Amino acid sequence: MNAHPQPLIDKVEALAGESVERTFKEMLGIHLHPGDPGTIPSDPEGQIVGSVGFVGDANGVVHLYASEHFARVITGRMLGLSEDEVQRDDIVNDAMGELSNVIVGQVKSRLCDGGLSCTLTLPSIMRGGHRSDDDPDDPGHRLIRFHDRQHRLVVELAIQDEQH
Amino acid sequence: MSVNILTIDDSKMVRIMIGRAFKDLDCRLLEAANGQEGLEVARRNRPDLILLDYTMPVMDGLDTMTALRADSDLRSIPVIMLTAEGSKDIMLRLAQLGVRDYLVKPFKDEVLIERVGRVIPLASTATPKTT
Repeated sequence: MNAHPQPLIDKVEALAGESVERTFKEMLGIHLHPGDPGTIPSDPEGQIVGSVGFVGDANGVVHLYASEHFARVITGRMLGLSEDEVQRDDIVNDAMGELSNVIVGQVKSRLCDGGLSCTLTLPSIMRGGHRSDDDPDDPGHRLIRFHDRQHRLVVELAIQDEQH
Repeated sequence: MSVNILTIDDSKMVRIMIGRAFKDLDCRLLEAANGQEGLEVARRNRPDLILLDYTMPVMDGLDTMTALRADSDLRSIPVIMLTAEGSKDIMLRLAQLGVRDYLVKPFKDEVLIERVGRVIPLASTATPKTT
């Protein structure tokens, strides 16, 4: 018998990784590959962050960071448009919110099916340069990097570990 | 005969994508950004089908579904729930509320059309070619 149950953040990291890759592939036709953990890249173009939390037996927040350019590409893929045709910031914000909702929704479903009942928060969007206030050495904090040939995506996890 | 389909979803992105999916079909699309607004639109227009998002501000999908079932004029309108969450407890709650079907996001246009077509008749707007 395993005397040390898997930390929640490890479970969420694995689920989030699967969810990001699957969602980008199936929903957007973008094949992301996992990269090495690292700091959130500063992007002179600015970033958009989509955040969704879950509350209940498992508690945490998942943030998705994309450059403004990548966010327009993502929006274009959702709408069947080129990134140049995506002009409105509110539509880009909406797309990032919906993407975050889908990705974290899948994570939440798996947690619930595994016995950790929780509900999702509504997505929120922030724009501009971002610097995480979390301590990278915090055991409840983790960064997951993804990339394709042109773009990078960073997923930041802030998880409250309820394990005893 | 044209059908009326009401989409209740706080994401304008989703409403645009659904509109795109139905563009070649003979239907009138109605929209609402939350359950409260959706109930008002439903009462005015009596849609043939409601596509209802699960997670919304103001009034979420479950509360909207409960309100639809409590309204004698609206309770017979079939509802397909759209959700980012596919957990078993959610599916059970939806079934208990009488949701006709559900779709877990992301879903392809053709899957949406096929599932809607199981509930209401859909006709193409394309003019048949004659020889």
